[in-house]
Amino acid sequence: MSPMLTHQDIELRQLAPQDGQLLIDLDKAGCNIGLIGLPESLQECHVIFQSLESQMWSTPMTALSAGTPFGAFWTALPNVSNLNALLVTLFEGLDRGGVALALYIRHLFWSFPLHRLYTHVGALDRGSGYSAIYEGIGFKREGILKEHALLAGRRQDIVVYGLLREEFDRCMLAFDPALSLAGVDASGRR
Amino acid sequence: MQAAVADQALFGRWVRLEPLSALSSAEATSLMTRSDTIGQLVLSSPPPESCGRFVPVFCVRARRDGSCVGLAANWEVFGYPDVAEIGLYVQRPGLGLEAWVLDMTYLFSHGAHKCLLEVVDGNDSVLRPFEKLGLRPQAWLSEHAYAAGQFRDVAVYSMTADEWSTLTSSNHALARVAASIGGASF
Repeated sequence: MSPMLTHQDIELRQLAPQDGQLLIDLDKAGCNIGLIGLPESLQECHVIFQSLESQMWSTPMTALSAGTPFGAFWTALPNVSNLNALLVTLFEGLDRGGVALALYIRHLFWSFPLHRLYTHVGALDRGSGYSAIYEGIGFKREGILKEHALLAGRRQDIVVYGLLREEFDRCMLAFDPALSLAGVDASGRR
Repeated sequence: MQAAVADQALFGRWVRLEPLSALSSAEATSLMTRSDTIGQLVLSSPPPESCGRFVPVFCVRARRDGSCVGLAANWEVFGYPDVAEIGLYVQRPGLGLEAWVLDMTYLFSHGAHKCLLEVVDGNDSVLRPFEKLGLRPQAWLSEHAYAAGQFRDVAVYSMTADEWSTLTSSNHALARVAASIGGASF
């Protein structure tokens, strides 16, 4: 499948049913830092893909580097009244995650009238790497939900991050203007 | 305040929470669409697939005249199966507080590890009493809700069963409402 979006050495393409194993592998590798329930079998993946297809703004995508998938994103809980959605992110390579995530979020804000995205990060060792990525593209830490997730029989705190459209654009103007939405016409030209 | 479970309803001193029926659902919906209700400052509708996952959705009635004054819904928070979110829409703040205590206590006795409530900034009829109770939001979600003509921040309050127990045992009024229904089967 050809890439939909490219930036630097990162490609994004639509997450397809054949990527089910990728999701399972990312979950097993500890990439599910939001600690949300994810599929454990290809059959469950199929159900998730079907549900994402029918859900507004879901935009499921895979991130690739040199043709190899290393992450996946989609949105959940779209709220059309409040123009926000929950961002679900799974990365294997944190070093490449920032560019891929910025490209993905730029695509969301470009394509839909979203005012805000928010996401959850488990208060785990691995979570700090994700936090750095989120903060690097403009997410603000909004609070900690105590004992929110149950992981391997233990209660875990969840950190909530939020990002407004204007905050993302301000951040991109400063750090990667090619991904900024400002000064771009409807055809994508500056 | 005195509360008890009877005839599949929860009774406080001022309100009665009864499982939503076709008739009371119409009453509650009508109430929610009136512009002078707290419905203007609530978030989205609960997801239908998990609404009432822990305990029934209740119609909140004033005991004085039996009128419908609100709705107490609950649903599973996406991705976190034992966390219940409460959608409490009550026209009169004092009645709302009693309904909240009844609903929270009932949820904790029916499998919720934690309960969560989102309150839109500016909804002082909820924020002020919570502050008086010593409750602090665990998160402030920036411009998370579009209400009354603008994007507004949202306070997230959440409490585990243990924290709820501590709160209700340290507050005489809350304790009396909570104790009278705790552990009752539906």
